[in-house]
Amino acid sequence: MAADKIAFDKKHRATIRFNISRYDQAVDRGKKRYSNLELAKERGSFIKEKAINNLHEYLLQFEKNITANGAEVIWAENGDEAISAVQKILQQNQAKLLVKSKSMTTEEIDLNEHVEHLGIESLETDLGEYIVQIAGEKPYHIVTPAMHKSKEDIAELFHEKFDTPEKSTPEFLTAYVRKLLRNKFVNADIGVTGSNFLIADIGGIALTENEGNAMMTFSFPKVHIAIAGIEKIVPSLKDLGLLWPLLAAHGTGQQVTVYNSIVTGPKKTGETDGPEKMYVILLDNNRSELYRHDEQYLALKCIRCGACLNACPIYKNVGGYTYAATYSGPIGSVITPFLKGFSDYNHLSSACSVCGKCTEVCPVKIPLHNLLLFNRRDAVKQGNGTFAWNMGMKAFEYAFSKRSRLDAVGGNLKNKLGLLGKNALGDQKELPKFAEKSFSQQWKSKP
Amino acid sequence: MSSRENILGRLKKAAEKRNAPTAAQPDFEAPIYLQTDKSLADWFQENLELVAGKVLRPKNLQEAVALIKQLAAEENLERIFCSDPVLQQALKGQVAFQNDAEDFIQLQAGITPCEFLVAHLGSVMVSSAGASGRRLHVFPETHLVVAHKNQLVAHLDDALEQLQQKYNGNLPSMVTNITGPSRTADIEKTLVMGMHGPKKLFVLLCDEPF
Repeated sequence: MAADKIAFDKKHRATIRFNISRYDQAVDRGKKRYSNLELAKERGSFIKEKAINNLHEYLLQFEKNITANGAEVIWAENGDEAISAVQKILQQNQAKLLVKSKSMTTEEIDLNEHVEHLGIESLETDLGEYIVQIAGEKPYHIVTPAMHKSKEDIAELFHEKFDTPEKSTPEFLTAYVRKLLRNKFVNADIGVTGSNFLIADIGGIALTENEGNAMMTFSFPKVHIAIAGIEKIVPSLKDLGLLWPLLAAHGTGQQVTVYNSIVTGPKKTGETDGPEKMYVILLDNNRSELYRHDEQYLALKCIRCGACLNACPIYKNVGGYTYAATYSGPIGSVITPFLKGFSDYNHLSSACSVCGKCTEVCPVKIPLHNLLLFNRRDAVKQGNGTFAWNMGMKAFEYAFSKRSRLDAVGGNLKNKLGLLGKNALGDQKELPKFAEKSFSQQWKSKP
Repeated sequence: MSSRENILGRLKKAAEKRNAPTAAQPDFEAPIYLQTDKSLADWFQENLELVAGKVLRPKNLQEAVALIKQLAAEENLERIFCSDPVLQQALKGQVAFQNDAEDFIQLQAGITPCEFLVAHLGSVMVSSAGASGRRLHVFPETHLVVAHKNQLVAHLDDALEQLQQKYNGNLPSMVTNITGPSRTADIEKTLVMGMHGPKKLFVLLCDEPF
């Protein structure tokens, strides 16, 4: 839905406000567990910056160590390469059913659609993801996929799809999905997860969740595929002692999420259960292009907690779908032009009031609002600005660089000039009126 | 060139060109969490109860088994699964349990040991190294963990450090830090317990090691 429509959709706004107010309360409590949150964030920032500044070395270390643990690492330049790697594994195993836990990286490459296209069932198992999957939608929010739906909307959806009683409660629906998906976990051939962190020194992936579906996904099927962006690296296992609680405090306000798992490979000799094979697909998909940019590459530090989305006044009004991108909110606005092209996505960098709230809440201290300004600069340099905009800015620069030029015309004419072309403030706001004489002129002529 | 070489090559080239200065290391020693005067056991109990876990404090393994027997009656626990040899030995003759792979899908409750208890978070750290494997820690509706005081550590950092010492470069294929029963808040941020994992989590924390 276009931004100008959804921004004035009062029902949508009320649902988002309600959900985000619940989030805000929880996060306030979560942050109170810290005596020095600022220092915790500085440590988080340091760890991720070290990882990103030495990315190729840590990736090599990760590959070496997890391979020694018995997993196989596959490198994918883009979605196509990742999908064909998955396809090969599915065919080798004559798979019929794939279960997956929540992963934005798999959204980025449209994994479900591609797997279904092969005639194989690809099932989301996180409740929020399951809801948007059966609704035929994409996740609305990177942490809370069904944030845009009220409990009435969801009860209605389940009533239509599964003939559950009308107006079912969240408790009833949760129990219903639990039962339905248990059989799927037990019978699935392949389990697909993302990875919150790739741990270089031990060669392992880390997964954060509350429901237990990721644990089911990497415990029952005989093959586990983890798909991760190359920026997910942390240098060491000990870094998780800081990062797990920090991610939870900012993602949901919990002391730590219920299940934080480390998977270092397939089932080991002598172990009771677990997959026989584990694959880790490392996805670039233009992350190395973002990495080339000396300012914006810092966005690769992101741990995907979602705090900047919930803090952003623009997100709260236009909502997740308006971005038309896998990653929404401030972090999405910074990285999407690199992942999907400046010509189609640079407008996201401009859809920002530069209030700086995103930077303030970021647990790894990414200067998000500054990075958006660097995106705007680069877009102009690359010639992505429209002709009228560029001319307008030139005229603006000419007029504003000298007081005498600004005062050359009176308020009346300025007001008329302002009405030329489209109102830059949109349909819902009027341009303020210029006074006949400027402040400077009034000051000079004061008695 | 392979995708691997291409990706790594681009990353290396960009990093060398940028030559970003190493950021000053912040203080990694100073405390960042609120401190407490409580014992580790009390602190653990308080934090696990914050997230709807239940903590029982038997004197020893024998008393723990008696409590499990009582719980099994109160909670109507049937089809209890236990794979750990030490716990099996203690349960024998007191609490009926199963350990056949074909019965697994039907199980209702699981009894397992753990690696560590993290007091600061109220967490139970488990791994796939023992006979309980991976599934038994997440599949049952009720999960009973039998632990003892020597397994308590203050912070998550301590648990991860001791884990590495214990396995000395040969970590189990899975390690999970569990903090309370499974939950979701995906519908209007309404908290519902027992999404996919256990609906109830009991920790029987014995004074005496076993």
